[in-house]
Amino acid sequence: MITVVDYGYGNIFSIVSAFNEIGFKCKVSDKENDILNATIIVLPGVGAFKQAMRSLEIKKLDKIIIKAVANKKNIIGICLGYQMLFDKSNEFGVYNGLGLVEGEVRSLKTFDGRYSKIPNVGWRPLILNKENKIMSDKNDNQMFYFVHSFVPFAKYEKKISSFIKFNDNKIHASIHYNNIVGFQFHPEKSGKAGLKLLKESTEYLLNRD
Amino acid sequence: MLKIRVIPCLDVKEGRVVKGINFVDLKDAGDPVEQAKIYDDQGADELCFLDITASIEKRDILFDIIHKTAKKCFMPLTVGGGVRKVEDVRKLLYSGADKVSINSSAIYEPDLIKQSSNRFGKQCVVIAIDAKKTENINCKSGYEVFSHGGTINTNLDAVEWAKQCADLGAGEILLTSMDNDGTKKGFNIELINKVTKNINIPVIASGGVGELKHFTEGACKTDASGLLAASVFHYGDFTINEVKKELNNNGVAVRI
Repeated sequence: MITVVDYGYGNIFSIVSAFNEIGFKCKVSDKENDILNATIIVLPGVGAFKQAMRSLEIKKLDKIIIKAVANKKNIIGICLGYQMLFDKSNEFGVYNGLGLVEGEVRSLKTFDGRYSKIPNVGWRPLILNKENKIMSDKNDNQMFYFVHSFVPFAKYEKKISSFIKFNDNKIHASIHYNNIVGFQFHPEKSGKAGLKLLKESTEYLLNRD
Repeated sequence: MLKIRVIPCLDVKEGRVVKGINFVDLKDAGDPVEQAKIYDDQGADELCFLDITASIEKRDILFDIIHKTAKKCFMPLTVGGGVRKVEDVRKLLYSGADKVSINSSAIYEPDLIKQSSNRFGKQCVVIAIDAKKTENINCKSGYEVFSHGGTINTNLDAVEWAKQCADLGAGEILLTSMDNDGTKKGFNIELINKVTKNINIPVIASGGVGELKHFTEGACKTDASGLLAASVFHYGDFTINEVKKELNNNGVAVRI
């Protein structure tokens, strides 16, 4: 069972619709058992880092998720849910994340935001990370929908599955590593390419030994 | 690089499309969900619903439509029209909208921008600005903001108002030129440039498209992040595919 974590943030309805479209049923829940027994935990998120983390903490979901992932449970983080997988964020102060991936969330302004508009809203082509072979080649140069002002910067580049070019910098668009998958963009809003990648990533996690 | 977005807009009244695609072979031309699917198949980068329902009682129908659309269309949905309170924003997002566009209420209660942005994140707060050229010497940019569907002159300077919206936490500006809207003579390049030069959040240009080349003009002569149109798609003058092809042929980066 795929469990979409319900903590009051994120476009849960769109994410569930996308999973249904690619043939997977989901349960939307904030219950400990549903998270600990999930085949995949999906952490959605739209909004501000601090408030979203606080909302997880109030429901004690942060500890439950950390425990589940430590027990090798699969997790997919999307957008803010992706950012929360990391150690900390610099969004309007410094706040701790779930600490499941080494690295920190930074403002897009630190990537020379003079040229590009912020928030970064729209479709951008992915550049696959050749060192990480989990995401299939057909995703290379495919376009996905982004909408964000901050972005995680992972400490270990081998965990990164794709980049996008932002001004003259390459920023970390997704991670695929062991039991953890994360997308800065919205696969559930990226048309056919997005659904295909979501399916591929779900199957990768489910077939992982 | 970032691709320019081509955004069709559907006007919805009491749950029915009143200005959408006018296809003869469409089973139900008034069904917003069916229309949204067609735009999705044509390669629209985003879809905009504008609710023009007059009575507040009948507004709830909209939530059902967004819900049904989001179930079948895997692209960003922006919904606007009659948004008055933070609660309206929450309900629209909860129904499946990705962004909510606010117009008149933001003018009379600018705090609504801040509240919505703080609560849901700036990425889902779009401020719609209807601007019209003016002779008013007190208006520096030469464009004034109108509210209530373009019926009331607020005397606000369009550029100043856009800056204020950005400062309050808006994530995007949907800028409509009232002078060009419906004329089919092309986007108001001057107005778009005045606004984009003064703010660093994305601007979606709207109003005036009549020919394919107008999209190229909008993309090449301005710094707009998105190009929105309703009538040309509604009357089947051309499809989204044709617009993308035109832009691509002219060296504009688009998603094909």
